[in-house]
Amino acid sequence: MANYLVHRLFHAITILIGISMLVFTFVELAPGDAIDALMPPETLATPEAKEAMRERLGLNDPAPLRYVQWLQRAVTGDLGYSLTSRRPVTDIIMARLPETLQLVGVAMLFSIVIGVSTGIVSAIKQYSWIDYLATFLSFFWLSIPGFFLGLLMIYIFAVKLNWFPVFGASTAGAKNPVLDRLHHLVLPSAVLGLELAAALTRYTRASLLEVLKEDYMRTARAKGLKEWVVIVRHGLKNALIPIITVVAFRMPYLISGAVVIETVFQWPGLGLLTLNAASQKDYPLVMALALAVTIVVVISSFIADVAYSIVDPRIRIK
Amino acid sequence: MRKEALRIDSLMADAVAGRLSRREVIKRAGALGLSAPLAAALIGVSEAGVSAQEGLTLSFDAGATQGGGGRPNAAAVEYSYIINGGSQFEINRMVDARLVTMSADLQEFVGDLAESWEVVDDVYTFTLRQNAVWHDGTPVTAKDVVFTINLLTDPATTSRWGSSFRNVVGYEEAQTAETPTSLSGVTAPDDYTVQIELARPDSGMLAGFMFINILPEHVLGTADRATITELPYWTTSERVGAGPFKFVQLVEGERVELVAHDQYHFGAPAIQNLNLLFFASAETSLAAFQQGANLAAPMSVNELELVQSIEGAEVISFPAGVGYIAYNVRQPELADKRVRQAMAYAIDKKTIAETLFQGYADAVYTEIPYVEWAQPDDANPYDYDPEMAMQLLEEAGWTGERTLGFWYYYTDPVTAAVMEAMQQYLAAVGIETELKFDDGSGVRLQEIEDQTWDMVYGSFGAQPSPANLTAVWGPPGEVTYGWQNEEFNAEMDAALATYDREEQAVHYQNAIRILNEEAPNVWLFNRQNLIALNTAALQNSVWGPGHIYYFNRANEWTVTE
Repeated sequence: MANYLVHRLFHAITILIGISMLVFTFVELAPGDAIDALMPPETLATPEAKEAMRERLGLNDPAPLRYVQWLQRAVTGDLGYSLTSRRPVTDIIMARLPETLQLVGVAMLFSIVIGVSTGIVSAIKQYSWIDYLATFLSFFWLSIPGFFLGLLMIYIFAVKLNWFPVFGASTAGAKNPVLDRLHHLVLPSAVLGLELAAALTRYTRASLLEVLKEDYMRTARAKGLKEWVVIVRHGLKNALIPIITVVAFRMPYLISGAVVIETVFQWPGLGLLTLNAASQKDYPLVMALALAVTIVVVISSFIADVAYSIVDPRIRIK
Repeated sequence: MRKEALRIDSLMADAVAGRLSRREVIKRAGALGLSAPLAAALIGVSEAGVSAQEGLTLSFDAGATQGGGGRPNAAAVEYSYIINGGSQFEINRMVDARLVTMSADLQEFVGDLAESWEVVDDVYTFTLRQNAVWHDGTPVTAKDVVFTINLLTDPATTSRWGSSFRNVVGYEEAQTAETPTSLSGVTAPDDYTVQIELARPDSGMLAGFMFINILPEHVLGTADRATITELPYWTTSERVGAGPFKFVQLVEGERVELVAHDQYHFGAPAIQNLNLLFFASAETSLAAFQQGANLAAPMSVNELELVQSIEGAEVISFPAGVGYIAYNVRQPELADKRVRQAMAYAIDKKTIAETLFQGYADAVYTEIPYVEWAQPDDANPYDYDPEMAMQLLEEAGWTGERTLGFWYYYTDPVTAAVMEAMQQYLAAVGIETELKFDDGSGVRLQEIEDQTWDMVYGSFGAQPSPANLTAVWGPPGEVTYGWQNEEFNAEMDAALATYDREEQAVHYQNAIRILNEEAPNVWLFNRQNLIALNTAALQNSVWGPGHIYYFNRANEWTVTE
């Protein structure tokens, strides 16, 4: 197991360095630089002032040198200062990361509970009205774009019914921060989670239907086991193996989906920050964000591997 | 286990009751074996989670005055980049004080920290109010003003406002000095008098002060100037201003929380807590407005019907800036002024203003229509005349062989419609254009740098003083537009050299007459920015152009609960 972990760690580091080089190159290739965000041509800044600012931010050094300098500092944990806000990048990200993890975590939990249970019911009651309804709804959620669904939910549940807040993750001066936070989480996490829930419904249904046809299911029934034992112990356990892969592989989608959802709901997470940082060519921030997301994805795929080996002993032997 | 749970319970209770700071909560949670994000998630405290707000509270969109078109940038820079100004003027407007500001209608200067001022023999003398105090209780004195000017003109800070003082005695020396050097022309004869001696006349300097927040010497005096903008100071409760509200905290990505400064020099604010909200999307801001969680939201004319249908809502407007077409006159097709004049005649500005802008714009022919005394009354209004346009094009030998790239960068649907209308008007007289939207990818900026661009639709923020025309059409204009005019420069210099309003008017009018005839830009619309204001809840508020420090009397604003 230790060997396996070291192997995985080596993999992760290689991926991180590769991603950081790619991101740096792309930011570098894009025309313009952070000076344009700080001093747009429409303002009255003189060319000298722009040049002084460029020099001060170290943007006049050659790109490869800046990458090496960045890497040297990054390995010591110093990710530098944001070019546009002049605040330490680490501070900015650490303030935002928990917000995104919370949103994505709740969305994932929501989608697993809703998606898997609907999928199970759909498979067991195949061709019933429940199955048809679930199929219709999952195609509906899969095809509707997240930003539109977000605005629709805001209109119905926040503006018209006034059940939930429209934006943000907290209310200034809220009496009960826990309830306030949960209240704010409902709409964005539901919108973010619905698409994955729909996908999971489809996958669970298909996977369980497959398993239900297997010989060992007939054997289990023939042993005289109760129907729910047959389905849960023999059916589900086998049907869930592909679901774990689906969930793990959906993690990056969920995080990129958060970019849109966070913008619509003004959720103060990494997504919203990424959008702003990229448009401002704030490369220290963009680099750090790419690293943060890569780390989250690497960790989640690692967790998926471990979970997989628990559910399916054959993988451990391999 | 049971004991552990109890401790978590009591920790949560403390956090909820506001007895603990967030840092403290996370520290104690760590002691209980909880990770920081988990603790934060469990307890639900964000940066602001445990602050209690008592008394009258007002929350509104921090980008309210930035208008629909300016919105993405406004939200992008979430707090001010102080030394260089910043898009979130709403925050600085509330936290800091200036020497002088402008009335919201841009008609007159209003003293802020300065009670009065005069200019005699190229020396500006400002008399400060004696009742102004910083948020920490220290009196605001002339030394703070001297400190601020020296800080901004220090090359180490690379402030873009430093050049406002280029005509002050000692400015050049400070720029080239090895060690930080104070401007010898800026002095404080006593605690409440500031004198600024000029090396050459500059009647435009007063207007420069509208962009400059006065900073506290007793707090920032010892800070390293090269890294001063990196201090946590700017976005924490350490910040000390002299404006109506004190900085409480920045809630990352959500809002800035402010609290009343009871010793504010114009009187204690009626509102106790002020939350300036950040929105990345105008739709969300307006939805929050409908819900009542946001009392002022930027809006466009497309939302007029919606806002008017909301109970207690009112639409208010103020000058945003002048929409223009700017040209790269280095391009051979655009070098002839008759081509540019033809475009001015070809576009029916009045119809566009009445229809697409729904009346929230006027047809104009100059960059600063707000300053009436500087306007010549014989300028050409370039009223819609396609025949004239075609005649001018023919005289200029226009072939129409090349399709011109026509950039725009405002994201709102109104601008998109205006662009299409202009494209059609130009095509009708034989000028083919390709609309190019600048999505922020930097392609347009690259074209500007390479000098390969043709034309761009932009907007010049409402300016209260004609003095700033030099900054656009003087030597900097040569760099950006390839346009230079000695006669214009001479008139501007003459206007800046006199403090007599009537003499200034003569020269400014001459300068504007030259711009009007030469048409380095075609000026089109004096656009209005619109704000949806919940006047049922918020009273006495004053609004103006978001990019300058107008006097908003924030201490007199009040809300009904």
